Amino acid sequence: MNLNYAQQKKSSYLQWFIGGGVTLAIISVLVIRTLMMQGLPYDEMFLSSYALVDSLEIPPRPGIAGIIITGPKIEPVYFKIDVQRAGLRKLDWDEIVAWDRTADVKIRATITDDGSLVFDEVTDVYCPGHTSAGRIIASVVKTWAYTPYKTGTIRFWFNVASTGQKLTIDVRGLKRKPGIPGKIDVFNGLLYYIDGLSRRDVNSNGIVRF
Amino acid sequence: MAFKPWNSNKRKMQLVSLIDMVFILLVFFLVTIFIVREPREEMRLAVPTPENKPGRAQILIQLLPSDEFFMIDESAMPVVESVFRDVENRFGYLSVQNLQQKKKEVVFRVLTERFTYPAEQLSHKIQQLLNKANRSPNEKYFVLIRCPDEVPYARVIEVIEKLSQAQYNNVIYGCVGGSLEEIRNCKQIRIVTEIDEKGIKRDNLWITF
Repeated sequence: MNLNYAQQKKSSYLQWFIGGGVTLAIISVLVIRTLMMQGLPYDEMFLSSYALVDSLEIPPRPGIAGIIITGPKIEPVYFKIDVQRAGLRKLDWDEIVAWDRTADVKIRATITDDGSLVFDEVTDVYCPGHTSAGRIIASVVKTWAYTPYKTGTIRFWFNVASTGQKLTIDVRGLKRKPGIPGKIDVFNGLLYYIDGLSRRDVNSNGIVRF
Repeated sequence: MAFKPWNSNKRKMQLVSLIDMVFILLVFFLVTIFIVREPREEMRLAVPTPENKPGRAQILIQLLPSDEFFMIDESAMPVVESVFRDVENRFGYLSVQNLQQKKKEVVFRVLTERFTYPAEQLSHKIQQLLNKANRSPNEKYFVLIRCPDEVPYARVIEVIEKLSQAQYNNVIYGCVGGSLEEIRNCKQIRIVTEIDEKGIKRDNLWITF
């Protein structure tokens, strides 16, 4: 009876000891964990120990490697009839048709540095059989002036009788002026100053042979 | 008085409270496991980070420790171009590398002479920019503010406050550290013609560190 009591008492102590030990161990783990976390920033609180081995590379921010200051837009320029020039005269296609409905006039001209159109009415105007139409057309064309972006030879072919392209302008002899920086694009704009002629009747890159 | 008889069988450990506590701890760990998982999930997220590219801006404001500031915008472009032409004409005999160095030195000197202003003019300059931005609401103006370590950051805040007064919020800013010395000691200053995605051609001033 006494022995049984002693055994039971011993077993009871053992149970208390094991239970208390487990509890204390868990509490100790929690306390240690809490203490370890106290000094850490929030981001690092949950990082596992192996993660600390890796180092994060801070990406360089824009502006550290260099600076780019965006400049102004480089606008293209247009080689075209300069309507601001004084003395510019407009050709009326209907009038030409009224004068000579079969007129066939070719003009070879030079565009100077300032954009003026220069030609000799004797040597540079080719109009066999249509002299009066040639003279009238040449007198108007002579007043034309262009924006000063290209120089060289320009040829016109006024083919009044044509049902297709009534005006052909050969611009292959034109070159951009040397003073214009290469980064500026020079485009061709309106190369004629004529009323009563639609755009589809004009070929501005055609070949004109005398 | 009748005492309760001693019953040794009742002196057993009460496991109920221990089990309660263990369950509470279990719940605690289950919850914290999810908290631990979240940052790991976050680590897998593809967060866009800035690329190692030069800071692109239309206006550069470099604060100086000497109560002055250096400010350049597109108006500096013709100055740089003319300096480059001048240097090429005068020092054309130099090797390519030395010519680049010469260009850099002369451009830096000319730019700092022309575009360094006393601090009092900062408000006026920014106001000019704001007026321009207010006149064209569809345009965006990006200002790069550079502040060296010696200058108190309060000056940057002042600049930001002023820039924030744009009527259409079309003045954007970015701040980086850096001194005028870094610009002086940069690798290269050059003008690069670029065509953007809209096909617009521009002359840009590149300062490479």
